Amino acid sequence: MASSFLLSLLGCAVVTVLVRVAPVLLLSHLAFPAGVRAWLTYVPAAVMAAILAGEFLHHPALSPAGWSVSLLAAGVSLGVGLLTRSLFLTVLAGVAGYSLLGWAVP
Amino acid sequence: MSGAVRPPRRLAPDGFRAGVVACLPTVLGYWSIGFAAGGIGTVSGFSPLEVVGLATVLYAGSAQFLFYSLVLAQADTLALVLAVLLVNGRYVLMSAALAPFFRGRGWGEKLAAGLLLTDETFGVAVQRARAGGGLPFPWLLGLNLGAYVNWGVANLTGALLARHLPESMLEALGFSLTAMFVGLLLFTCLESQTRGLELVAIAVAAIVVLALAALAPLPLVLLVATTMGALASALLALRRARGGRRWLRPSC
Repeated sequence: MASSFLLSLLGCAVVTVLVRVAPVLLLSHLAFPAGVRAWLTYVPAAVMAAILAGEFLHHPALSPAGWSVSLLAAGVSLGVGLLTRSLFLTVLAGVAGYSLLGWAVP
Repeated sequence: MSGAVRPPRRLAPDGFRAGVVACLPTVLGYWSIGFAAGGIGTVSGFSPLEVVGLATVLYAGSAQFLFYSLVLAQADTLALVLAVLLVNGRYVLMSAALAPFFRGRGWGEKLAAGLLLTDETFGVAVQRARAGGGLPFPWLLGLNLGAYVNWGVANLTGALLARHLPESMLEALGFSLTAMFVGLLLFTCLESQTRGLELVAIAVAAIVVLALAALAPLPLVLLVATTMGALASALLALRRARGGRRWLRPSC
């Protein structure tokens, strides 16, 4: 068990380090063509949107009447974020909203 | 721009401490997920030492959850490594997106930036870089080490304590990660020079996830959705640059 744990950990660590380090290490030498630069510009928004969509799909936290508490609380976050422009308050509002809505939504 | 209440995002100094401060909004998320990951590790029969080893060496929540469940299912090492590769594949795209900000900088800085890359620190770092602040190394180190230390401590605490806490509390805290991505996405959009195109990327990525979710494992779907979302916006941007119609001007 112990040695197979270490072997698995080592294998997983190697691939994780590779996917994290190789692109920034290798690609930062290059001057990208305009198309690739444009594509990379929109990767952050796309990856965060994809993570969020997956989250709402797999953890909707449905209320008894079928409302998704996750989606509703995300709406609260969005509103507070728009008003305050503060990431910290956005996160706090989301967690508070999630707790309150989970309790209040039918 | 009414300075007083806003976080000092544009005015932020470049030092290590400012980086640690920039990390603070992510701490709640790290703690809840790290705590849960550590707790599940203990419940799955791993020792606190193994839990902390996994947290500090892998340093990736979803991969840690996967590791525990696959080891419990007695998957062999190769299957485990491939699964972790798939789950962490999105880091290829994030690391590549950071690359343009690291042109002409030392390999040590690139290595440190890549090794400690996570979804959360990536979001915070890109937001700063886009706002014109660049990515000064002490700041990035503060952000990354702040996150790393929190993650390790949260995993250890979870491994030692999780059995004694109510599940509903962990669940509500777990939502902080979702809320954080909502905020990061909002600010990315608000601060972008091309908001319309950011919205296109967001919409396409989300639609692709919803369309493919039933057909393939989520990590793979995330990779495809990210690629296609960014591609859609890039194609529109190129078209515009070549003098196409200007029908996608900012309107967020």
